[in-house]
Amino acid sequence: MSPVMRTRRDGSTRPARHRAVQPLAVVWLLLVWLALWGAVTPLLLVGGVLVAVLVCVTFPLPPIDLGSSVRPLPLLGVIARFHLDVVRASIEVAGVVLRRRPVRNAVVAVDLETKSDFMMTLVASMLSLVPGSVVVEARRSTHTLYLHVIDVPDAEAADEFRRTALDLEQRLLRALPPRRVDQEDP
Amino acid sequence: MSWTQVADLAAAVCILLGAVLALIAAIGVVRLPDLLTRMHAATKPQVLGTVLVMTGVALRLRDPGVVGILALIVLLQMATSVVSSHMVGRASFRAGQVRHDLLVVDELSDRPSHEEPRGAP
Amino acid sequence: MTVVLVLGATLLAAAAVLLLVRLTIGPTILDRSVALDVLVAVTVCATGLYVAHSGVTYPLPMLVVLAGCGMVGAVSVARYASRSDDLEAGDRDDPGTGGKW
Repeated sequence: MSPVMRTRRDGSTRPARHRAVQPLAVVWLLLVWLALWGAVTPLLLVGGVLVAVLVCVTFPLPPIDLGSSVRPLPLLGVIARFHLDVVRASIEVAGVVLRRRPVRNAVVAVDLETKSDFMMTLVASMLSLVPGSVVVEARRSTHTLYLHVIDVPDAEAADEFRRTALDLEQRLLRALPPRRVDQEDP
Repeated sequence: MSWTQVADLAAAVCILLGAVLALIAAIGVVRLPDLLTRMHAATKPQVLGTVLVMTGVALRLRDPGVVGILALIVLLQMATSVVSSHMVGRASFRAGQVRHDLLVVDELSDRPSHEEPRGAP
Repeated sequence: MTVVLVLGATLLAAAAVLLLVRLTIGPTILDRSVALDVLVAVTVCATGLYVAHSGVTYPLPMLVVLAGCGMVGAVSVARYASRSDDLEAGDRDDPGTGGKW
């Protein structure tokens, strides 16, 4: 996902600025602006939009194509489940830290079903935010994540973790189902 | 017991839990045997610890203008800790600093790696 | 409330001391960067405690910056560490010894 490059007459390239101002980015930057001020007034709204547009034009980014539609209710479910996972995993890791038994780990390969980079990034981020698993390597060509998992006593537990990760992916796929149309073009 | 007292109590519990988590994580960072294992302990205060303490602060201040900035802190902390933990984990694995005797399963070293160019996503 | 805040600050201070221990002894530079990352998180928590204690909100934007930029150190260290190790990473035959630095 590299920015669209535009070639100048002398052969040098620069990121194209066309459609640099994306509505979603402007809304997000406006929200950050309002959060920083901690109030909502007409002046702040106007100033926020101006600053957001300025940021978008100054630092152009390629438009992000989610390639998926959003289902709000399953998405809320995913977020709630994520919080539960974080709390549960934090307690587990705390237990691992405090007990005397030496810890055994594993590096588990998870072959994701999805083909979209966005989904892969999302799965990887959520898995590394949950304590107890860190993404050590990601292969985009095969859509494989390699995760280092703490406290895995045997190969069976490693398989179980793989199932948990794939479950998370399935839940995410249900919450953000991919649109069939833009699967074909790169 | 009034509403503010309840909020204060909840704030106290949140802050205390967050601090305990940070302490446990620090113990883990000192005690655990190798870098990747330590990173699991490190993720804890970065995510849950910050969330708890910031929730406690929000409950204590009870100022709607502050909630936005606290949410921003938590979001930024989450977004950046993912990046740094992945970078550090990958660098450490590539540098061969993993204690392979602690690994039950190692599917990354076992799998034949068709050489991908460095930095390829 | 003050008792709780003092207790929390004590716990955080103990955590910071432990992290400084790891920062000092940590055999590799990556260990140190992880400890530093956690130290930043502890600093964020401690400043949050101060805000809860005093009720002043001016340190909060500082926390935003700290949370947003705390990763820069770890990322650049990781980049540098793997770069310097790339040359011999292929023909290394004794993985797990660590402690190169």
